[in-house]
Amino acid sequence: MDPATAIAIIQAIVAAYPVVSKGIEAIIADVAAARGLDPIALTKAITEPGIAAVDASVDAEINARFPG
Amino acid sequence: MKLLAMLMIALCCSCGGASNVDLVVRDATVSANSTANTIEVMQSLALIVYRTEQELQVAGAKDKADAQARVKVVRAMWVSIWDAFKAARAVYSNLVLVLNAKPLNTAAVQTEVNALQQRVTELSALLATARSRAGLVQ
Repeated sequence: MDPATAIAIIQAIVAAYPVVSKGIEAIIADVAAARGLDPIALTKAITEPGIAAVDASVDAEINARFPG
Repeated sequence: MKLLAMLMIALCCSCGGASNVDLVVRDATVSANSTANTIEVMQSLALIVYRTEQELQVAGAKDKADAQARVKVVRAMWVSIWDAFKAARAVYSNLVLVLNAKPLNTAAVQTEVNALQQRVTELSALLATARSRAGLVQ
C-alpha cells in the first residue's frame, strides 16, 4: 500500500466519527459516570461509523482515476 | 477501563463485601466497557475492509461507469454489516438503560449482556467473511 493510500485510509477512519453535539456528550458523560462506564468508549460505540466519509473518498478516487 | 473495573471492585470490597446486585452491576459494567471497545475496534476494521474492497473494484474497472457500478455492488453487500453494527449499538444502549434503571432488574441486565455478546459474535463472523472477500486474511 502506497503512503498516499495509507494516509487516505487513516483520514477516512478519523472522519468516521462525526462530531457529537455537546449536549449529547454531556448526557453520555453523566450516564457513564453513574455506572462507571468508559465515556469515550460509550460515545464511540453509539456513534455511527463513517460510511459516508469512506464512500466520498472512494468517489473522489474514481473521479481522479477516470476524469471527465 | 480496566482501572474503572478495578476501582469498582475495590469500592465494593472496602464497604464490607459486595451484594448480589453489586456483583451483577460490576460484571455487567465490565462487560459493557469491554464490548464497547470491541465494537469500536470492529468499526475501524470494518471501514478499512470496506474501503479496501471498493479500491480493489476501482482498480479492476475499465472506465468510470464500470467503477461506479462495481463500488455500488460492494456498498450493497455491506448494508447488512452496517445494520448489524446498528443492532449492536442498540443493544448496548439498552444495556446502559437497564444498568441505570431503579430498581435494578438483574434479569434484564443479564439478558442485555447476553444479547450484546451475541451481537458482537455475529459482527465478528460478518467481518471475517468481508475480510476474506477483500483478501485481508486474518
